[in-house]
Amino acid sequence: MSLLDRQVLIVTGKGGVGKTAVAAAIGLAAAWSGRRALLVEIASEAHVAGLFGESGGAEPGKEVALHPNLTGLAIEPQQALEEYLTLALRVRALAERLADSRAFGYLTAAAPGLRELVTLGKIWHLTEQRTRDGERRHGLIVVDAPATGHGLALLRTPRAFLEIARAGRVHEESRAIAELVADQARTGIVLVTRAEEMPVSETLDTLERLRPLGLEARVLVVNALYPELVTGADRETLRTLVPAGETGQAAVRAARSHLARRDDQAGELGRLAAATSLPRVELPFLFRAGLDLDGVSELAAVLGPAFEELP
Amino acid sequence: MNVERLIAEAEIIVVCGSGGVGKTTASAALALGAARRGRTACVLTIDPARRLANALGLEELPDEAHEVPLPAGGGRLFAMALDAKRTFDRLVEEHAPTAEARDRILRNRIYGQLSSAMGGSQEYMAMERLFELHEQGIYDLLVLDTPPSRHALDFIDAPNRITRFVEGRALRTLVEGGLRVGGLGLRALGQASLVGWKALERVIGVTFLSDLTEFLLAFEGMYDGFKERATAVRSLLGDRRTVFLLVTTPEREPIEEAIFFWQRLVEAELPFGGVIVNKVHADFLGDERHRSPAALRRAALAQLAEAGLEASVAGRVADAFLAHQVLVERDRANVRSLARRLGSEPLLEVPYLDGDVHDVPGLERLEPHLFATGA
Ligand SMILES: Nc1ncnc2c1ncn2[C@@H]1O[C@H](COP(=O)(O)OP(=O)(O)OP(=O)(O)O)[C@@H](O)[C@H]1O
Ligand SMILES: Nc1ncnc2c1ncn2[C@@H]1O[C@H](COP(=O)(O)OP(=O)(O)OP(=O)(O)O)[C@@H](O)[C@H]1O
Ligand SMILES: [Mg+2]
Ligand SMILES: [Mg+2]
Repeated sequence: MSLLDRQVLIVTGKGGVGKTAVAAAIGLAAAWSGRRALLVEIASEAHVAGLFGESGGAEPGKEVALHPNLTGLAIEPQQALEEYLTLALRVRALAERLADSRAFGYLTAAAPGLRELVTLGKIWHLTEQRTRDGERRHGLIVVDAPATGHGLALLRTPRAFLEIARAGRVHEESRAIAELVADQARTGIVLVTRAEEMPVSETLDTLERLRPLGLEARVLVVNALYPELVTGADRETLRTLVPAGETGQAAVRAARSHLARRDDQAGELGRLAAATSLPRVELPFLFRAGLDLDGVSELAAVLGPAFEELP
Repeated sequence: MNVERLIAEAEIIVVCGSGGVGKTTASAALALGAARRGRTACVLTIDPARRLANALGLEELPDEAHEVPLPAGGGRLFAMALDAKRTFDRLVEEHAPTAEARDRILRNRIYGQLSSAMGGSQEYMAMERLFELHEQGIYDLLVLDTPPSRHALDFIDAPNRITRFVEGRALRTLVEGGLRVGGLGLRALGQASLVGWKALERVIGVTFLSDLTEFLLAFEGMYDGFKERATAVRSLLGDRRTVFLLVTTPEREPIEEAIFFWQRLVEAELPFGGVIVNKVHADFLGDERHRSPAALRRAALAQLAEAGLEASVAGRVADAFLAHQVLVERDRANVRSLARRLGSEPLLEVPYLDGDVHDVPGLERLEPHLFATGA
């Protein structure tokens, strides 16, 4: 079974490292391979639709087509909660009354972790949905999760709720959600990083913080590695070279800066490799004005075959 | 943006922005800059990365200020890693009417979840700690580093959210009615609430509800203290002694986040100091910058050959150069559009330095760019 055959891949990592870009690339690669894929994001941070040229972003709770075989869904916790209540109470009018009540408003506005729980609950529910023929309605669900701190809180929530709610439907479902998240056959955690000091340190830290939760990442994606445009062998030559004209000088400085960046990245890659034996997938830095479908495709072309190979 | 003046006048700087743009780095460099200008500055950070934490002496003790050794002559620099749970515990200790009430709260399962990493409490506690430290008056300047932006919005809402939760009178009546007074209370609540209560119980279970009851009852007598405190925090954040700075990179998504955040600050009537655009790729070109990529490549190759560079090496150098220029142009276009949207609000560009910034010498390299005037 390849990594792309999981039911859910949860993509997390330090802020700004490229979680959204990687989640989109995984979804696209899965779609290319003929699987059906669903890209899930949290509504308040919704970006994915934009990468596929859909302007305005997805309406929360509504599944939109992004590409052949690929759809997107932005989850809005409050909405998911109301949906959940309707399901749980089986009577819409009752659910609406409860959801509208002031008391309930207070509870949900601040109840610790409730928003996280319904978000994961919604994802769990998606994995349970069946078509009329009894087939799973969704193929691969790729979750563009929040950055590590809040991402970890998200992953911790179902277990926390097992503790707080000792009985009742929430208890049962928290258990099911916690099992889904921890089940390596159904779920994979994808940690994204860049080969920079702080992201690498945070990644190593996250690996440690996952362990006590009974969770483990499947793969590290190292994003935005500089290609070898100038080589180490050019270093000495570049160190002393001073061309006469402005353009030549600018070119030399740019090349030096490129080398410096590559050196840094090589060092951080080494630190990562020394600290963990997790499989690594490396993605190139894209020299583009902004990320769009072409850019995501470029990442997917590298990521797809690599993920296909991973167990 | 005139950071020099800002540092001299503000007592609190709150640094916000989306993920990975350099908030922690900028916060530390601002505090360092202030210290070098003679002030006693303290940078407060949540979740500091290891090497910077190490450099700032934050590794051992959370929630305590450490002095960062600096060359003599300036002021002093302190750093502190915030610990939300400790701050919350301290707050409870301070406001609990009796020792018994205090222990009941500290032991409660819901409190346990609320006070550690969940749902905005971290953000709120950061503000709370900031307030505490400001009250103590030990430091001339406090620089608060925040977690990634959308959650930093929780900073604004958190005081309200937390007090709303603990003072949720309607909820309290409901809960008290349900568990304390029994059927009588329920009847008093009316039919609609009774149905709601029963439904809620089926969904979240009796233990949850009884924990909640206990929690809310234990908080009785603390509401006023909490509320007063939250109001004081809010007014400190809103007045002239405070300034919010936004950090972004010159990339599209973080810029959109910065704009969004700026608008939220304006709506919330919080003092906005400007945007720092960090990691701007340096443009090494002067007058030649307006030429096309093809022309630049030709000129570079010719000049490199003239300087005696072998054709294959020159080709590679030109590749790296043009790749760099793509980013230079991207940055320029994005900064220009950001500046247009910000109107007259201050904006400062800080270059993308070669080599990571994760120690005091690194911060010292960054500092002059942050304190540059004019832009
Ligand atoms: N391989 C790459 N090469 C160049 N730029 C990239 C690459 N991957 C991502 N980026 C850029 O980096 C920035 C951050 O990427 P992205 O939004 O995917 O990160 P994120 O981890 O989802 O951020 P956040 O924590 O804010 O959600 C974007 O401007 C994106 O265009
Ligand atoms: N001007 C700069 N030049 C070069 N590198 C920089 C610069 N500013 C920040 N960095 C580097 O960028 C990375 C991210 O910076 P930092 O951790 O400060 O961001 P952050 O906004 O605090 O991230 P998070 O949202 O995860 O807390 C670090 O590795 C840092 O060394
Ligand atoms: Mg994202
Ligand atoms: Mg930070």
